Amino acid sequence: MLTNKKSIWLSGPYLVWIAGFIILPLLVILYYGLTTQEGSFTLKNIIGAVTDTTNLKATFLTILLAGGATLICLFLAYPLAMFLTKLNMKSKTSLIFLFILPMWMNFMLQMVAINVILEENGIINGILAAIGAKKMHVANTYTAVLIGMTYDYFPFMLLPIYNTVSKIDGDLVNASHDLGAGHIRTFFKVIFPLSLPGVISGITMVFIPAISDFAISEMLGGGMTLLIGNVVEMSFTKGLYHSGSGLALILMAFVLLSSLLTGNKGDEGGALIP
Amino acid sequence: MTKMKKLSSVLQKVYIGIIFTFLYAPVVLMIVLSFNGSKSAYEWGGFSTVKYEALFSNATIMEALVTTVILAFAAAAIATILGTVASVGLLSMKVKARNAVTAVSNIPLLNADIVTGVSLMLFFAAFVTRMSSTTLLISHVTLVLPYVMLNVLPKLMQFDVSVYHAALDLGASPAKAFFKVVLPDIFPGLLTGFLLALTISLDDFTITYFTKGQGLNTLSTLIYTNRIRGILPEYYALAAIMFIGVLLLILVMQIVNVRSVPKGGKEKELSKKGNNY
Amino acid sequence: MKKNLKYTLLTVFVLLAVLVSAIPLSSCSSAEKLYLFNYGDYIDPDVYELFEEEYGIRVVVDEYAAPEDMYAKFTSGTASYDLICSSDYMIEKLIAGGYLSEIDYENIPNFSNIDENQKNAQKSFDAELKYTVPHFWGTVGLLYNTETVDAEDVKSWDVLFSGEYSGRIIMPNSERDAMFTALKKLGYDANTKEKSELDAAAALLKEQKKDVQAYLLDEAARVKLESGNADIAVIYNGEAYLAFENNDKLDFVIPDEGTCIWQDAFAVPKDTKNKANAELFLNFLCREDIAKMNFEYIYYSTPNKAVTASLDAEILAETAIFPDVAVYHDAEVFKYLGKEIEEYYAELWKAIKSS
Repeated sequence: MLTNKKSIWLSGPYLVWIAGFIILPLLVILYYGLTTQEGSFTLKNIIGAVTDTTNLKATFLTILLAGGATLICLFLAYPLAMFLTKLNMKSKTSLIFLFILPMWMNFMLQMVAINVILEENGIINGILAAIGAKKMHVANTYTAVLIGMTYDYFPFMLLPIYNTVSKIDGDLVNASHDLGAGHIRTFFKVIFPLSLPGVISGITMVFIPAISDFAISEMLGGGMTLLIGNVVEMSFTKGLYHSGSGLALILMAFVLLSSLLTGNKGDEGGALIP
Repeated sequence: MTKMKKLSSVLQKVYIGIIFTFLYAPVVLMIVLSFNGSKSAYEWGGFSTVKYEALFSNATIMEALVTTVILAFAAAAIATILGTVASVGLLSMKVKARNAVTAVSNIPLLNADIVTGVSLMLFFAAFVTRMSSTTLLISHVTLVLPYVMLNVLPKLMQFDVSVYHAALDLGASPAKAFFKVVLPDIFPGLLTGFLLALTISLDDFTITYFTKGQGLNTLSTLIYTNRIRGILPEYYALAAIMFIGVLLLILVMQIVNVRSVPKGGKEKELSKKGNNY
Repeated sequence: MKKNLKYTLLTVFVLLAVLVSAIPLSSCSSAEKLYLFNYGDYIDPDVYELFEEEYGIRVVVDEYAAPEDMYAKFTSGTASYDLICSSDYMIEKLIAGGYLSEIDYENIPNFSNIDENQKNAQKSFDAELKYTVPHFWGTVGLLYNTETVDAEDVKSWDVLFSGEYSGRIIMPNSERDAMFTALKKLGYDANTKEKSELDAAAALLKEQKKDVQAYLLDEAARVKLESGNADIAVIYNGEAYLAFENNDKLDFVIPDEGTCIWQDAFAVPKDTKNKANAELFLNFLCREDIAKMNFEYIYYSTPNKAVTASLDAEILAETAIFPDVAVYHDAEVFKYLGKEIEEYYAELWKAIKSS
């Protein structure tokens, strides 16, 4: 049964499944993306996706917010990962796990909670008012969406970085010190290069889902933030399948290409379970 | 120097504390407010379990909760069985063919969820009549299948085939040999795959949003649809319950994990990864 | 031992999975179902329970936010409904597209409860009264906080565009309603098909966006004002009464330039398999006690004269619920503008949102 010709048949149902529910749907979207409503071939949807001013504005805003969230996650998570590895704790797995736990509260409920905090009369403004400070207008702005993205994707940055940083051989760091390198030099010459795979993995795991998001901006942006994901979603909920498919194809090409370039296999998700 | 070190160690702990607060503020807030007697989120109306009562008597939310859980279990179970059987088959494939197949099956995992969602939606609209709980289940299985494969296939490839052949030589039927010898060995991968599939399905919004049938809602899509109605009081209680629920689930998993790893296994595994830090 | 533990665990998981998968199948078969596609929170949930008790038919509801979303989903072929509720111009579009089934009013004896004036209004989108049963009607106006907003200011739609209440304004998250306010301010017809006029209105909205706190509809907009998170909202009159109940500092006004009048109605899609049940439910909704339950659930203007006859004079005099006849007469009604203009609207709306 194991490794003989006949047992190949065991993968039959699975092959049918991926042909039917992965490849075929992608062909359907390709068909829609390359045809007009009347069914004739056109490149209008694809060209429109990258030239339409609304789409360009949305793309710009998307890259700004998703890129911003990725950078913030990186700058918050990297020191955290370093400090966590230095802590003297018996069970480091449990410790790192504490930082991932909040993401298991339903994602939509997280957004609801963040909204309660940021609202015009929310928790933060309540505290500000109590100490006599001026109110902040964060709710329903790009900043709110940025905070939402940072919160939601933070664990995806922390985990891969922690995994690489915690595996750096302490002897290497000591050797660097012995050879006269200071902390900063050791960081840039030894620690950071060794952790680079984790950093790259973290960046893709935050940036990729963030650029295709539409729910965070809808939940926290008060209908004021139109990201590329929102344009795709709008196209499909308003029935504009052909132009929507054109845009979706571009988005897919970009996502799959960047995964290919960074060697992201997307399997970091496994680490989210203790 | 030691003073500096002490200071830096304190600062590091403060930093850890700040991030910890940032991550837990929404969770704690929801749990605290779930016991707030006032309808408003912004004022304290005394301790009360009104919101929990409201939650349990809200048929729509309870139905969505049941749907979410059933869907996740069903999708994870189907994906685990399908993925495990397939892995056995893939083992006999030529390496190139196998790599090609896994590359395709990984597409939903790498691709933007929204693209997977709309492609399935267009596919169902074109070839299947109506969306229903079946189309939703199919979509979720498709979504979680790669997570199962990623956990099962490597375990199976590590498996020492000679053990299996020894079982055959000793007179076991292929099926018996598989269940008695192979399955126990790859079980940790299977379990991780199943649990991961479960959690991915539980938390999914986008795929569900595009492929659910009429009158069907999971928690995520229900809350999303209800966003036009502001925040319902029931959500606070729901968030508290879901968080505690997941916490318990994970504790159970931890205990099972610790028990099922033979003594010294964990250390061996860690040193294999070169962790001497 | 350990292996046994693992096996038991797997068996448990699989059994659990099989069991839970079987639950929906068994619960499905117990009652007949009626699929309804409606705006959010537009019928008292108790009404569904009563209906199931009396007729053994379970109403399964899907909710949508904007009429355009409803149309896309409805026509996508991915969902099938037995009954839909939507607004005048959208129903007109569905009728024109041949998507609706003629209702047999003989099966809806309670239709006689519908007010004659409302039947006339109904004719603006269902000319021969063949396809629809009215649910609620109303106008659009401004809900505002009397403590922070000058009552003089809200007498005109201009208040939304003057920049005076920057960051405190809630606009409707629906293209026709949002564009309506700008068209009114510019003095144009609400149903204009002139692209230059639409462009001007869209330009105004783009410029206004910096002053807008959020684009929200109905209940969400109301809650923003009730909680003091915003000061002015463009809102349907029906929300006003509940707003007053929850926050006595709020008031509702229809600006002097006038408003639009809308009617939401039920219709039966052509591909329903349960037309008889749909008509049964429609008849149920028109029944006095049920219509009253719905009215008292959200306080939108009911077209049911049996209900209005039973109401206290105090509530009838509440102009937020029952707008003055004077307002009613010079108000405009949204018409379906045709495919081209509708797509133009969608483009403009996208551009406004992304500006």
